[in-house]
Amino acid sequence: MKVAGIPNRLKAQLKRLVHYKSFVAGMVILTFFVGLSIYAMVTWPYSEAVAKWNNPAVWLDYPKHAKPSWITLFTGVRELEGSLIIDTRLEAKNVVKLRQVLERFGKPFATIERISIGFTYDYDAFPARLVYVVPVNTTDRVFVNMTWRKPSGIEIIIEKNFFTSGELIRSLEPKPGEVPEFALRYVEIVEKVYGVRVNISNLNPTYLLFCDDEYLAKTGALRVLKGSYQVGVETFSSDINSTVDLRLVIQGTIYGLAGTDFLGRDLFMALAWGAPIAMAFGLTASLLSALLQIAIAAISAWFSGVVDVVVQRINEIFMVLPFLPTIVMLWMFYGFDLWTLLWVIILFNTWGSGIKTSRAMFLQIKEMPYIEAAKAYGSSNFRIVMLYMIPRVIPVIIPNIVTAIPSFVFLEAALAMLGIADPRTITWGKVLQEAYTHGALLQGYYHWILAPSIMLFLMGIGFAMIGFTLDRVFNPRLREI
Amino acid sequence: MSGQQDLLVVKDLRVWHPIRKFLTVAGYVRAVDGVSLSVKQGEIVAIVGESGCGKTTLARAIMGLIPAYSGSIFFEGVDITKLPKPTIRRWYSAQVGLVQQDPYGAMPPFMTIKKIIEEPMIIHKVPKEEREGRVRQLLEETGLTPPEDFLHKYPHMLSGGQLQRVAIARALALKPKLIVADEPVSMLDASVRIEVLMMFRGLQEKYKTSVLYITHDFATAKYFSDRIFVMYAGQIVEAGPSRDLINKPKHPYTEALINVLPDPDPGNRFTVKKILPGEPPNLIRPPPGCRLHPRCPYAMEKCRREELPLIELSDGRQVRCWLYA
Amino acid sequence: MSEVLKVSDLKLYYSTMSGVVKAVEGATFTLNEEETIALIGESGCGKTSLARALIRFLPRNVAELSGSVVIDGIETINMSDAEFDEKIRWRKITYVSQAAINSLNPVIKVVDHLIEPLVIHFKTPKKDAVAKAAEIIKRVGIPEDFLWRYPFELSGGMKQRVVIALSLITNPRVVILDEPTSALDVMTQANILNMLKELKDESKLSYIFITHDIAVSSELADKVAVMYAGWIVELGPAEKVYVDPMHPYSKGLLGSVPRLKGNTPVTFIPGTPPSLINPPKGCRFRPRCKYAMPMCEQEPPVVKTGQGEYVRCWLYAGK
Repeated sequence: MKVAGIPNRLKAQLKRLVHYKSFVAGMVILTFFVGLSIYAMVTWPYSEAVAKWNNPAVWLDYPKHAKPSWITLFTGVRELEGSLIIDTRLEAKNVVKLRQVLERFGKPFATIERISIGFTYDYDAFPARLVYVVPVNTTDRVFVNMTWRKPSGIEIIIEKNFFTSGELIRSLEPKPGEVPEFALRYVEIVEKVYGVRVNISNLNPTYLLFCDDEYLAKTGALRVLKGSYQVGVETFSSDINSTVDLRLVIQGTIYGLAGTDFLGRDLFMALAWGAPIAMAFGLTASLLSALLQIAIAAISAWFSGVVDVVVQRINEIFMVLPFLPTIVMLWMFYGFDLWTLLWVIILFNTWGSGIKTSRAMFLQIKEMPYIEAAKAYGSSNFRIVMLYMIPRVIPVIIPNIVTAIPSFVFLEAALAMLGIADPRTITWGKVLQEAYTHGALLQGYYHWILAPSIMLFLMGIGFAMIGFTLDRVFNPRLREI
Repeated sequence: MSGQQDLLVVKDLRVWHPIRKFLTVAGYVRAVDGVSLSVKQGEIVAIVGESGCGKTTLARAIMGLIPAYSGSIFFEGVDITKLPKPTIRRWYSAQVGLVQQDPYGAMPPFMTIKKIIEEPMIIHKVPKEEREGRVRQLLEETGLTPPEDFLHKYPHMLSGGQLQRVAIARALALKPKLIVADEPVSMLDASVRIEVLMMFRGLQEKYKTSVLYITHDFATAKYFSDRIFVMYAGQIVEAGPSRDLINKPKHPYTEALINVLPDPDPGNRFTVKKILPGEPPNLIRPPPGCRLHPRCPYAMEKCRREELPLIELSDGRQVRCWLYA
Repeated sequence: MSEVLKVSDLKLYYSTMSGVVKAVEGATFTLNEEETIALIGESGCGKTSLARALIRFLPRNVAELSGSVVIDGIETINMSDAEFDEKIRWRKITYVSQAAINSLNPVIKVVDHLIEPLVIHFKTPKKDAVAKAAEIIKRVGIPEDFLWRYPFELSGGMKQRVVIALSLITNPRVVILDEPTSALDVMTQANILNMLKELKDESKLSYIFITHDIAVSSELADKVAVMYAGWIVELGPAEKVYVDPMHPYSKGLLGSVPRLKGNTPVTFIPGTPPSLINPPKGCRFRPRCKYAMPMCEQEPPVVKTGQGEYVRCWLYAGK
């Protein structure tokens, strides 16, 4: 059944909308989100995005807690964006690899391998972390000797040990109360050269490898030493077939448009994917609960009597049911995903005071003479409800639906903060919740909190502006006030 | 007028609205209490009374919109108070048309004029090809010409007079045998009022439709109707041919009403009207005997005790008053 | 008889989203003591706007208000709203609006409604004000004990009486009655009209009686102003206008009133009133007028037909 008249009238009213600045501003914001959504969906299809986001292994080489890269535009400090990765298995540039098989009595009995990597570091800021991996393939033990040579000429032995086959992984990051061996050696070297014993407790060990020794010795403070660095690995093994490589990951401090989180995940991906999910979630929840609401309210008001009594009692049960505790309880029992959560939210929002309000509207409409006229010329109950009563409230409902969209997005975010969230789906609320649990504010990772908050705020403002304008156009009585 | 057969016969109709208190019925509002009337084919019958006299309730009962408490309403010999609801919807609703008082409220504001007039035909399954032509014809007949100017307009774009024409067009869409017009022109301006009534009368003659004209206005009833029934407190107190009844009212109530109604006359301002004291009675507990007796200047002892039926007088007049018994 | 109200060339325009509405143009009339002028015309003809311009009950979108309104010898057109409130409203002129009957707050006692203008505008002690209220309510035919009731306990006719009492309590010279009986039943209406007639004689009141019901207007009118599309098209004594109207519109309007006595056929005026945003050039009635001449495309002259009487029509020009 086609709802007569509505399309033409809507068209005329929509044309008037363009005259409102608030509508145009709202549409600009909405267009931004739609564009962002399309970008997200094209770049990372949904299942791929979810899989990627939830697999920490993908993000190992990414800098953790990196700030958005555009921040350097304001600070003017050159920082390393992303990670500088040098893998001897992949590239030969700046890599020197020597392999020597030792023989005794004409028989090879051991191998010596020397790998040397050179790179230039000329950023103003320290890298956040250095990770090196030494893949060893041997049947016997390998002795590894790894050196770090700074542009100042100081060479530190950072690894000096036996290893068996596998991967030697070291991630240099500050661990309270723990000072790596090489750091102690470094202190001794500095003391030998400059005659000052520096205090290095609680320092990021990565910084020691990149700092200006002289400056440190003189001021006790850290400064980046720019220039070319050399990393060497020397291995000795009695297994003549043994191979050794080196993978160096220097993680920077800035990344992409939105920075990264504690796992090194690109927050831009979360922000971009948050948009379509938020809009789909908000729109579905708002639209469906409004439609169900008016359908139930119309039926309740029209049929009155027993139907009305039953509907109103059910409604009152929902009205006294505390939303938050109930949803927490349901979540505890069933632990649903985002889309099941959506249905639960729709269920709870359909019932409640909204039905009372709509019912009151319908009770008024029911008494309109045109309803009596429709009854007089033989309209069925269904026809009266669908074609005579519901279209009457549509001008009131549409702005409400639009205005309510962000409130459902906020609701999802608020529930996520309480831990009621789909563990896999990417939402702004989830990002906020993780930021909160990882103490983003305490640690100064403001971008982690601010970016999703601004997204939520923008979405709220955008839909609110469109909704209010729609209300002014559809319900012109408001215009005179 | 034209036909002599009775199209509609109402016999001793009572419409009592129950007053409910805690699931029990505490009493009834006797909005219509023992009304009998008949409408011949092609005749316009006016029901005149003040607000609250039950005339609108009577109209709604005749439309089949509210149930009767007792009595019968025969339409072409079929008692519609005994008909099941679906039959009323499928058959009877096409036989009677309704024109309401408030032209602005009587149209769904979100439908176009075309759709509004088409709706009854859609519901009664008139084929689509026929509907389009019929809508145009109705618009032309009701003086909304050219139809193209109105088909796609919305009610709020039309004046009250034009809307009432649309309402009449809608009521006529299914060529009903009876139209119930409840104060169809009381909200219109004087000059438009007459125009609409004359147009309505013309169409009524053309379609040979009977009309039940519900109004508080004797003056238009005089020009528009063939017979008048005067209602007071849920009962018919007087009936008769329109002009005759207005020129020589018999019942004290009719007499008082007609006396207070002015014609435009500069002499009016020097006279004081004689009015009936008091107000119409409460319909939950109407006074015993004649319902007018507390206000009637001619009230006798008998009037306070005994209720009386409509008394047939000569030349088609009926009156419910002991003065004529 | 002294003159209590003199309106000359009153003009009232509103600005709306679709343009300037010329609600009242060139309205001129005088009103003497103990006289009633009826403003009659169809809805939208500007009669209520004219009345509201006199009492300054105007919406915010007034574009222009000019001319002259002399109430009891005081020129008011250039007064500020505050000055008007202080010197004219309640003291000289009061207004019973169409909606007044529904404007009584159902939970405020009748007496409190009645004494409010006295206490607020005249600083009358409450005791005196209550005494005055008791006097006035008896004059409108309501028993004194109704003072202590609430409006929701009153019938429509009684509420209308209370509203009229409210407009009389400050002893104004002029009372504007805007459709005071259109919501009432005929019997109640006659009752109220009777009361208004008595009050007028007792208190030397002048009424401006606004109604669309021509028959009812004849119950009070000494003078009749017929309005059409913002213009007073004819102004004359009741004896003339009701019996032998001059302007084609007045003729049409009178002809459209169905009469209970006699068998005069009723007629109607074809067409609809014009928009007040874009009224037709020349005479505004021209498109509906059966006497329309080429000359009518020019603005019709105001033809004096007697002392304080005129008709705005080319038919009578030069006679």
